[in-house]
Amino acid sequence: MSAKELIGLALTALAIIVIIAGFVVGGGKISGDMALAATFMGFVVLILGPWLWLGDVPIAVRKFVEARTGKKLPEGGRK
Amino acid sequence: MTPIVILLIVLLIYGVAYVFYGRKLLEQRIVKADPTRPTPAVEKFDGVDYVPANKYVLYGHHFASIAGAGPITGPAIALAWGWFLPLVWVLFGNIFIGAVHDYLSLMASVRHGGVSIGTITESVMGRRARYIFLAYIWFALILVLAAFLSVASSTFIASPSAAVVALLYMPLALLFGLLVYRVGLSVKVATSIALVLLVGIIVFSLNSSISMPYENWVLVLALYSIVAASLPVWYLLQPRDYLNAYLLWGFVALAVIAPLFVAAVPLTGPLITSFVAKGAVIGAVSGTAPAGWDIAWFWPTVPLTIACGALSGFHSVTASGTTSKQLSSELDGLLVGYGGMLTEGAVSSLAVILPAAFAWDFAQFASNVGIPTNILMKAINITATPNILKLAGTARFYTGYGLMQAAAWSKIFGLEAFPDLYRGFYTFAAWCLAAFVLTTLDTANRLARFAWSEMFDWVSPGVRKVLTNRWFASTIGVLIGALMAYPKLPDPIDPKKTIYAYQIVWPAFAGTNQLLAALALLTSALWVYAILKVRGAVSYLIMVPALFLWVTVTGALLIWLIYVVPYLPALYIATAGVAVFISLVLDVLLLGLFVRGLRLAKFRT
Repeated sequence: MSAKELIGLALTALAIIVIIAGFVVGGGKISGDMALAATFMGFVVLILGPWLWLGDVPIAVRKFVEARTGKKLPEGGRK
Repeated sequence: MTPIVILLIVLLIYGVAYVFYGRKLLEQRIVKADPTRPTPAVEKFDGVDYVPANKYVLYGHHFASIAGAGPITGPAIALAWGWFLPLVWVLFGNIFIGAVHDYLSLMASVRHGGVSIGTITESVMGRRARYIFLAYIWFALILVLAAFLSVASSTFIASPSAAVVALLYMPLALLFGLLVYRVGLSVKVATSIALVLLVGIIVFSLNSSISMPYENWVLVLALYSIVAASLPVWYLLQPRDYLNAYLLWGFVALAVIAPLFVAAVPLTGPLITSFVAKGAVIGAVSGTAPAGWDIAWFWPTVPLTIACGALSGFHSVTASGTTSKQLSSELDGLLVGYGGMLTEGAVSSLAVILPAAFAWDFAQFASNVGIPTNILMKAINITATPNILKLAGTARFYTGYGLMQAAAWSKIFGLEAFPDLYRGFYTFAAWCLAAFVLTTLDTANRLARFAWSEMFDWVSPGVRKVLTNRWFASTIGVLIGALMAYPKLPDPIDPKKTIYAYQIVWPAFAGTNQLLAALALLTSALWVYAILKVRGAVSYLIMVPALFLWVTVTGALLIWLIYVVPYLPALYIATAGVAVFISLVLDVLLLGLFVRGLRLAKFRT
C-alpha cells in the first residue's frame, strides 16, 4: 500500500469516527459551532479519503472500455 | 372528474408518446441510433468526465439532475389559471418540446464527441454562434448556482431533518460507487444494499437535525459543489444522483398509487379559472404592476411560469453536458433523454397538479373524502386558508401532496391517523424538494465547468491548461454564484424587507432559461435537417414546435419588457431588465444565424 493510499484509508476511518461522534454526542441533533465544524470537516474528509485510498480509476468500467475499443488502456486509466 | 381518470389519461399519453413519438420516430426514423457506434464515453474515456455508465444508473442520474425546484414550483404557481391548462401545457410541452430537445441535444452531443449544445451550434450556425451560446449558457448556470445555493440553504433551515438526509446520502453514494466500480458487484445487488441503508437513514433522520445559519449553509454547499464538480463523475455525482432518484421515484410512485385509493372521489378544483390569471405577475416580481393591470395571459406567458415540468434550456445543457459523456450505447439515449423528461413531467402532472386539483377546496375535499372537520383542522386551518390558492407556491405543493396521500392512506390506517399522515407526507414532500434542488446544484457546477472550458479553445495551450483545470474551473462558477447568494440587500420594492443579491437578477432567469430551450431546439432541428439530412414531413415535426416555442418565449419576454420592466425599481431595471433585453437581442441574432444555416443546408443539398 502506497503512502497516498495509507493516508486515504486513515482519513476515511477518521471521518467516519468524527461523523458518528458528532451525531452521538448531540443525541442525533447537531448544533453549535464546534460540533458543526467537526461534522462538516468529517463529511469533506469522507469524500476525499476514499478517493486517495482507492484511486480514481473504476476497474469495471476500464474493462468495459477495453472490451469495446479492443485497446489496452494505459495504467492510471487515462488516455 | 375523478383522480383515476386523470391518472389513466396521463399514463396512457406518456406510454403512447414514449413508444411512438420517442422510439419509432425520434430514435428509429430521425436519429437512427446505432448500438455498434462507439460513444464518446468509450472513445474519449478519461475516468473523470468521460465514463460509460449503466443505462439505469444514468437514467436516475440524468432525471435527478434535470429535476430541480422547477417541476414543482412552476405548476404550483400556474394553478392560478386552474388545474386543466397547466396540465395540458405540461403534457404538450413534455412530449413535443421538452423531451425532444433533451433527446436530440443528447444524441447530437454524442455524435459530436460529447461537446455541449453550445459548441454544436458551430457546425450548423457558425463559430460566432458558438461563443454567444456558450457565454449565454455559462451566465445562466451561474444564476442557477446562486439560486439553488440560496434555495437549498433556506430549505435546510426550514426542514433541518432534510439536511441530515442530504448529508448522509453522500457516504451512501460513495459506498454504492465503490461497490459497483471497485468491488465489482452488480448494480442490482449494490442497489439493494444501498436501499436497505437508505431506509435506515430515513428512519434515523426523522429524529435528527442539523441547524445552522443561512450564511454557513451557503458556504458548506458551495464547498460541496466544488468538490462534487471536480471529482470523477463515477465516484460521487453519478451514484449520488442515482440513489437520490430512488427517493424521487418513490415520491412519484406514491403519487401514482394514491389516486387508486380515492379513485372515484371527485376533484374539487376548477378546470379553468381564467385565461388571464387575476393578480398574478409574470417574472416573479410582485407588487410592481399597476392595480388592475392583469397581463398574465396563459399564452404566451406560460413557459415563464412552468419551466422544467414541460421544457427547460437547462435540460439540454445537462443532456449535452454530463449525460452525453456517460452514455454507453446510443440505444440507451431514449430512456435517459426522452424517458427522463417524461418522468419529470410525471412529477408535475401527478405529484403537483393532480393532488392540488383533488384537495383544492379544503372543506369540499374533507366532505368528499369523509373526513370530519375537527380532524381536518388538526392538519390544516381551513378557516385561515379555505383553498389552495391562498397558499404560496411551494406550500401549495406540500399541502396538496400531503392531503392527497393522507386521504389515501387513512383508508388503511383509519381516520384518526389522518393528521399524522398529513404531517408525515408534508415533510416527505419537503425532503424531496430539497433532494431535487441539491442534485441539480452539483450537476449545474459541473456543467458550468464544461461551458467555461469549451469557451477557451482559442487561447494558448499553457493558459488553457490553467483556465480549464477542473478544480479552478469549478471554483470560479461557484464563487460567483455564492457571492450572489450570500449578501442581503434592502428590497428595492419594499425597503423594510431584505432580499439576497441574486434575487435582483432572478426575475430574468425564467425568460433566459426558456429562451435557451428555444435556441437548443432550433439548433437540434437544424442538426436534424443539415447534418442528419432528414427532410419532408418528419423534419417539420421538430421544426414547427421549435419555431412555435421561439415565438412563444420571445412574445412572453417582449410582454415582460414592455409591461413589467417600466414599473420596476431602477435596480431591477438595471439588472433583470437589461439581462432580458440582452437575451432578446441575442435571441434575434441567433435566429438570423439559424435561418442562414437552414439556407446554407438547402443550398448544399
